[in-house]
Parts: sequence; structure tokens; C-alpha cells
Amino acid sequence: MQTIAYPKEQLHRTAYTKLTEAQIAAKLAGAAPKSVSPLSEVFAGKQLRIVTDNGPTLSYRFASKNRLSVAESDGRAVEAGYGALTLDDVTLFSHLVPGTQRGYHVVVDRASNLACVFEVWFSGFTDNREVQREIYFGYVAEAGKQAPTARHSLTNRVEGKGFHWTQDTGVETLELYPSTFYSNFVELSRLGGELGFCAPTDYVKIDDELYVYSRVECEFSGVQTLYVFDANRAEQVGVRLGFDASDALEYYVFTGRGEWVGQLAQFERFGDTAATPMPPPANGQPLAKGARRVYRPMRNNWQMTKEEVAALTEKAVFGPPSPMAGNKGPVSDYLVGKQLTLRFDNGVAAEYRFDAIDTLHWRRPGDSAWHEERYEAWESAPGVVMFGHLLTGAPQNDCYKLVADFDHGLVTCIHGTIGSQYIANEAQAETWFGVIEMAGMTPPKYRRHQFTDELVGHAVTWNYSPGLTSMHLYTTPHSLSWIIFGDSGAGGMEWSGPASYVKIRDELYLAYWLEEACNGTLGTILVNLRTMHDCGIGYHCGKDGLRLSAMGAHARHAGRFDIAKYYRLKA
Amino acid sequence: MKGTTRRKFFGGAAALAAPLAAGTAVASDDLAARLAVLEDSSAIRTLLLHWARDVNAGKITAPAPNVRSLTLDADAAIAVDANGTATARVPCTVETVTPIGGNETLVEMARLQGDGVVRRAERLALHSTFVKRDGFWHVANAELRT
Repeated sequence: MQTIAYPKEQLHRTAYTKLTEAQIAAKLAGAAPKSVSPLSEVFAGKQLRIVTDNGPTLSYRFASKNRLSVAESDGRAVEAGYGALTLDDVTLFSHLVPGTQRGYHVVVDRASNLACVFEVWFSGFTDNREVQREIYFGYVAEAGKQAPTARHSLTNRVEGKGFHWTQDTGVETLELYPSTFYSNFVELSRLGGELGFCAPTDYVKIDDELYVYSRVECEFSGVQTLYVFDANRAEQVGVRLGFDASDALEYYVFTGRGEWVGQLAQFERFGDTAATPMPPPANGQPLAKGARRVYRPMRNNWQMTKEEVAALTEKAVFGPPSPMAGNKGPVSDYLVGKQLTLRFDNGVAAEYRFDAIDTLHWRRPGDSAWHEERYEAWESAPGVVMFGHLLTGAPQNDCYKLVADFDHGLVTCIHGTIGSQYIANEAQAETWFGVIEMAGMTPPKYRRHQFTDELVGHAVTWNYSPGLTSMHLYTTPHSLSWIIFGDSGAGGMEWSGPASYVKIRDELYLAYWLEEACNGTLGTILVNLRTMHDCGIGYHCGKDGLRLSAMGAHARHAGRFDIAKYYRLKA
Repeated sequence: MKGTTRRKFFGGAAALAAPLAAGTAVASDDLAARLAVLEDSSAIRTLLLHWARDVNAGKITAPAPNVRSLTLDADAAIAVDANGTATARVPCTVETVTPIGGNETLVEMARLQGDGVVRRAERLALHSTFVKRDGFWHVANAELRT
């Protein structure tokens, strides 16, 4: 009996229904949050008046633990169902506004009387199902008392943290916060934990231990997950609102317990504890309500048809330097003059003749004709050479990216092809293990390079060239996330893709990632954690042609999450 | 000073103090010429400050691409010609913000969040030429040199 529920399609491949406003309205009618845990009665029978700085004043009457009435500013009071949960002095409650596609998630710190209000709504973007939000900071007004001057605030103090969460619903996730306005989530129980994904995220500081986390799965289902969490005790109370892959409404409050899994480095200046505010529009206009930074790669019009790919004639093979190669290492002549055969366990073999530092010839065993290709090679560690080339004339614009260890007679090939079942110009990859056959070398019969999870959880920064630095977060054994730093050094925009990791030697790893449903690139790097330098090859098919290009960056360790254990198969 | 049409003033008023103090030995026409140059230099100095302010405000085109700000670091060395032109050289700090080229994913994402640029501050020299028209000095040309 299968124990892990894998989805038929991962989030980035799911064709979510374009729900209409009318469909959403129908699904929201009369909705109130469900809860597995007992709802809090802390406000039952009470009234609250929440004043926000730049938003509405919300006047509540809580009739019971699940019914309230709310008046927005000077508006008429309306009744709604709600759910509340508490974490010590902090209460989170959530409700919709009947007859609308709006609602509120409200966080009240009863000790300080400060409040943080998330107004949420549907049908505010091209994808109606994507939850929109605006955050208001304020306080609970009390008769005869002066309004407090303190406020909850956006913060970078959550940046670098990570937790394994188990909700009272049984839902199990890994949630990693390597950015100040994005986060990673790995759905361990919902999706089997194969891939990590990213979503725009708000981080609000209540105090030094308590924070609010709110992400919206933009470009996927559009669902929102918001929770208050205690960083010390790893406890949470939260709410989930949105529509799942089958368009069913998910609206529930939850409690959860977690495990702190680590802390990554922060790269802001010492003393900088501010959030990374959303920059105002260049035209001087104020930010639109709900504005947030979202990476929406599938809306960049980079996709091509099969016919367009077939008609491509432009090729750039290790052409002009790109910003991704500003710190690449020297090209190696290690291979020049060598003749050898690379024989892989899947039966594929290729004979090579390296004529020059940038020119090789290859052929299949038994063929008489040689194919000439342009290549580049780098010797990352003594005797370990990475090189790559196109296979001119191959049916899918194939490329080989190879790491050959001449000290041990081993080779691993990342075989790249263009075209997936989803997008015609999206790269795909296979990993082949094999051996080097050449004069004077007897390769091993059984030993091979191997897939590894040793990098899982590690974060490494990569400085490619001036102004261009990212951080890799190796989120699962099968995915990788990249985070772009802002000018202050704060983690910013983030995305992720399927990936794979092969151990070449101690502290030497071959990794690839596929920018699936992103821009189609296959990135491949040989990570040397002794020199803290990589070499690598990008492979991309776009409207400007097919490109095989060098990559190279200087690395820094940025910390590690202890998460590999969550991916291992257990009895 | 007669016989030369180019007069240089380094450091402005302080450099002029000594010759003016010995005014009794100086012919009145020469004094008038010196005063005129002093006035021209002062006007050019003010013009340079305003010009730099306008460059920083984006009101006028910067003397090089991608200049975000230009700070004059010292008093200008100004040479005024009798034919109604002048030159100035002044050390300055120039901050440039140069967009990173390419369409790689990282570059595109960096642009999306308002980055994707190389910021650099350099000490350079601003070389300017001026022309006087209708009694007012105007910047004729400005360029940054190492």
C-alpha cells in the first residue's frame, strides 16, 4: 500500500482552473473557517474596536466562539462566521465579509493591545483565485486609554530561519525563510516532499519571539497560508485560505507544532533589522493596494512552439562572456591531446579526440566519421575536469555536460535535451554514470559517482560578477532554490526548480537544476567546497537561439538547515 | 601679468588676497582686469555647483552614461580667457549605476526587484569648458577623465 501521496502533477505543472468571479463568489458564500482543534473562546461575548493606521477601523462583536459581527469604519455591521486560535497572549481570528470576496485575518496581542490586520480578497488579479492581501498595523482601542504608539512591523528578523511544521490537520511541511519577502515550502505530506517551491511572503514582528508569516502561492493555486509562530517553542496558529488543485475551498484555522531546523546567515549590514520595503513605482504614484513583488516567469513570453524550435538556426557555444561567468576560472588545456572513450552504464558510449583547448571530435564506437564541436573545460580539482559540448545534428539539440575524474577513471554525464512534454523549448536532463577508458587507465567495474543528499539543506552564495550575487538553497534531494540579494544584502526574489546532486569527491559535487516553467534553462555546476569556486555550463533555448555558455562564481557558506532526514524513505 | 590672456586661479579668494593687498603698486586697469577674472571665476564656480546639482537631479544630461550622482570634491582650478571662454578642472566622486546586461534568469529577477545593476563610486576629474554670452557664463562642454 502506497504511503506517500505523490501528485499527478507538481505545482509548477498543474493547470489550475481560471476561476471566474462568479464561481469564486459561489464557493465563498456562507464560508467560515473550519478547525480540527477546538476554537478559542477568548473573545466570545466581547467587543473589540481595532484602529489601523492607514486602513479601516474594525468594530467587532463576538457573539460566540464562531459568530461575530463586524463593521468596517463607518459601514453597517454584518454577521459572519469566524474562527479564532490563541498562542499565549496572541489571538488570530479570521472571517470573510458576507456578500463580498473579502475577509480579514486579524492578529491581536492582548498583552500590548497591538493588532495586525491582513485584509484579503479574491478577484484582484488576472488569476481571480490568487489571494490578494494588504497589511494594516494598529491597536485595540480602549475607552479612556490613550492609543499606544508602538506597532507591529514588517521585519527581516525571520530571514534565515526554517522549521518543520506539523499541523493539527496532519499536514506536514518544511518552511524555510531565506529571504525578506519570499519563502520556500516543501509539502511533505500533500505532495510527497519531492520538490521545494517559493512564494511571496510577508514577515511581521510581534516581538522578539513571535512573528507572523504569510505566503500566497502565486503562479500556483493562489492559496494563502498565514500563521503566528513562536520561534523559541516552534508552535504556530494559522489560517489557510484559497482554492486547491481541484478548486475546492480551503478555509481553515490550524494549530501546529514544529522543529527548528536551522538558521542561515544574513548578509545585511550589522544593525540592519529593517524589512525590505516594496519600492514605490517609478512614476511617483503611491503603491497600489496589495502591491507585492512577485516573480511570474510564465508570463514573460519566452515559450516557443515545436516549429519555432525546429526552425532555430542561431547557436552560441561558449560565445561572448555573460554576467554569469564574470568569476569563472581559467579554461583548462588538461584534455588537449588526449584520446579516450567515455562509456556509460546505460549503454551509451562516445569516443573523444581533443585537438585543441576549444575543439574536440567525438563519434560513436563503430562509426568512422568524427563530429567536431566547440568545447570549454575547467579543472576544478586536480584530475577532475568539467567540460561540455553540443551534439550537432542531434534530434533534440542535445548537449553533454561531463565531469571526468582522471584519478579514479570515473565520469558522469548530464545529458541535456530541449523540449519537455509541457514546453517545446524547455531543457530536460538525464544523469548517466560511467567510466573513462583510455591508454594507461583501468577503470573500476563497480564503483561509480553517486547521487547524494549531502548538499541538502545547505545554502551557498554565488557571486557571478559585480552586482550579480545569488544564493543557492539546496532544498530537497530533487530541487534547488535560488535567491537574489537586494542592494542591502537582504534576500529578495526567489524561485526554484527540479535539481539533482552527484558526489564526485569529498567536498566536490555536481549539481544541475532545471528552470522548468521558468525560462527553460538547464544549469549545471561543479561545486568545489574547498576552493569555494564553481565551474559550470548553462544550456538554454530561446527565441535568440540555442546557447551553451560558461558559468563561474565565487562561493560563501551561508549556513545549513538540518532537513535531509525528512526526505529519507523509512519503513 | 600683461601680455598673457589666460589667468589661472587655484583656490579662489585666498590666492587673490596677496596681490590685492599690494594694490598700490598695481595699475588700475590691471586691478580691474584681475577683479573681472575674480568675478568670472566666482560665477563659474557657482555655475559648476548648480550644474552638478542639476545633473544629480536629472535635470540635465550627465557627462557620461549611467551617472547617478556627481560630487565636486574640491575647489575648481579655473582658467579664464580674455575671449570670453574659460576652462575648469575639479576632482569629483562619481557614482555610476550600470545595468547588468543579458537575459539570464538571475539578471531578470534582479531587475524585477529593482536591482540588476552594478553600483560603483570612482574618483575622477571633471573637465569643463565655458562660454560667456550676454554677460552670463554657460557650460559649453563637460567630460569626466581619470
